[in-house]
Amino acid sequence: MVAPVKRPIQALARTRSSLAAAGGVILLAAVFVNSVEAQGSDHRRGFWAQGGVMAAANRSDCSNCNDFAWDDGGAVFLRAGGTISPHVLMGAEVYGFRQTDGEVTETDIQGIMAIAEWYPWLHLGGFVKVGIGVANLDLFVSTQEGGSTQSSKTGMAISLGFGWDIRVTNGISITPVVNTYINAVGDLDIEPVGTADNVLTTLLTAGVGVTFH
Amino acid sequence: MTRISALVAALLLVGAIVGVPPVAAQAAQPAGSLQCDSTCISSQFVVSAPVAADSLSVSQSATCQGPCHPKRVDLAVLQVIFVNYLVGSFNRFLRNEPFTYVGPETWATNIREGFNWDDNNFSTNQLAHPFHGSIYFGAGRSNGLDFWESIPLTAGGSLMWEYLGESHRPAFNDWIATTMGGMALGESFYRLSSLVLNNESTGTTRALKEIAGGLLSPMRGFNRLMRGDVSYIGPSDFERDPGFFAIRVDAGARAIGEGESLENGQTHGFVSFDFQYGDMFAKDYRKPFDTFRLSVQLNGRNKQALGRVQVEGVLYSSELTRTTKHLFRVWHNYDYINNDALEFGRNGVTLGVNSRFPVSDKLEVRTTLGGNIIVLGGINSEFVGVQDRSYDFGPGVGVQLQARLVKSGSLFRYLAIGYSADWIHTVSGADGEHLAQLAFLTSSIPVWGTLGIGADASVSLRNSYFNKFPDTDQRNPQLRLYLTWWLR
Repeated sequence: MVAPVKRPIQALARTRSSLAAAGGVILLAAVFVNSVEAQGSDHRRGFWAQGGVMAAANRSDCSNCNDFAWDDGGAVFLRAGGTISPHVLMGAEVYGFRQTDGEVTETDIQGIMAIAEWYPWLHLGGFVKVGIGVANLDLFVSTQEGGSTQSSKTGMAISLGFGWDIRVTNGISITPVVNTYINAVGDLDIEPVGTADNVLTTLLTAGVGVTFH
Repeated sequence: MTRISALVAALLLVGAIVGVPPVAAQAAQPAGSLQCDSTCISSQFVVSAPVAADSLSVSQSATCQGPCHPKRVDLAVLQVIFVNYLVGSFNRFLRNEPFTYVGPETWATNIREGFNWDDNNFSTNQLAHPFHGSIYFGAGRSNGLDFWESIPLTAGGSLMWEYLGESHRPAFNDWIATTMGGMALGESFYRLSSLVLNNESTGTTRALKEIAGGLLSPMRGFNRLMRGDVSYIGPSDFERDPGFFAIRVDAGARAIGEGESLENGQTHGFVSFDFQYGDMFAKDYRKPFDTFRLSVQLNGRNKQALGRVQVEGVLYSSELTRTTKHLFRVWHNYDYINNDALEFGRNGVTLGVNSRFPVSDKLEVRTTLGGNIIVLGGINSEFVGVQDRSYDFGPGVGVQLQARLVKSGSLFRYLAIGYSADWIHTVSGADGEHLAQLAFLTSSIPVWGTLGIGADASVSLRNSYFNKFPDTDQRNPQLRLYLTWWLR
């Protein structure tokens, strides 16, 4: 049984604050979008790339854990691929998360996945993103001697996200995004605590990126 | 609480029905974004066509045939909510299931704590949830959404159920199974209901067709009833001709053994149904599931009567040569195999090549070579460790090879040989890897018309490599002897 690692309740509050702030920015952006819409879909063709930074909150869960807490952190993503149709882009995404509020433990996640972005409306920039791939989880636990142990495991990752391209020039858009990445890595041996069974992390992110079409 | 539930139900029901105008009201609507299937050409074409004398006939012929209802995303969403409400009410008021006692407190907890893995039995997770998803999918399809548009609806309906419909935490595996399995079953059932339904039928035949179509795709039946399509006489506004359709019924005895021989096993009866919709080499198909295969097997004296449900639906197809000799295909896989020997479930996608090689004027060999991507698979395991669950979950990859000797125009497989291997990496259950292999040899020959006899021999092998437990092997030979009957 893994000993629960208690986290201050403030961590959850901070997480919510940062995500709420990011969400607010996205909402404002969406309002702005409506005023500068009528962008057309003709720019969605050929190669495309997208990258950005995000505020993030991650929660690691396991079958034999009895404490659930959200960890604050930052995340980056980079996506690139080809345009299948004005409605559908396909490609690959790499993403990374680093916990920034760790006291006893710290979590890093890196993933790579195949993705599809679906633009339901031809003349609007809103899209839904789905992805599937692999992710690696690194858990660093501080020891009483002042050092730390590292536990790593690779497993599956699934992502669902939303975004909106705000076109600024012919081939460039500012893209607010919100994403969730679910990473399932299985059992994770954590020294010196024990084994965390069936580890599954839920990573929520909100941020902004730049898209090149 | 009961009164509140009744009020919510009434509101949802009214909402689901309101805005489903009957056929007579539809007729007065302009050609906006009508739901068109085979007999309709997009009304955008009609609108954009130049209004000139020579083009008038084109515009008229392109007008939608049949009731042609507009796409209704709002109704589809409302109906998905209603379905969740009905399922929740059934479980609460008739079965008194503790998990249905939900409210703002459980909703907040579920949203705060998020996904985990559940411990439900195999049939609940790998069959009941996909069936639930097929209802969502049917709500989308019968409200004019296409295949792709119905996927977010299904995923959203499942999320709603997982977070709000159950008191325990949402299960990640349920979400995947409901969405992906729901896509496969929902589209298959919708297509099959299109074959059954016929707006030109009348009388008792019509009534029976409407009932059968409604049983296959319940939300479609509901919408046809509400819109008055059940009594509309005229052209059908949906695809009724896939180019090829056949049902194969096999019935006979099945001996399944353990280890090296059949002597250690059991022999029981079985009956299976294979629905072949479309022939990939016969026609240029464009839309997802324009060709698919649905297989269902019922096993006698087994822990579950429904022992196998499998769907292979083509999502994308492209000719690799100028003739239709080699086709590159992407197909959606849904597999549910549940018998005394094996539990195996799979939701995934396969990329592969289908080829045909003429042997003589009448005989040809058809081959399949594919690579599987298993989004989430389930396989029986000895050391799961998740309460009473008997199987592990994980993603994986696989290969499949098949060759079939067939006679042109005949539905019998004179000889077929195949091999498949799937590797599953456990992310919930006993830490480790599973390798599931299947090799089979089958033959069926006509005896009288479309009636024939057949025999299959197969061996399934599971090698499990656990990180903290001893490795295990499972080997199950199987022999089937049966009568086979093709219906076209």
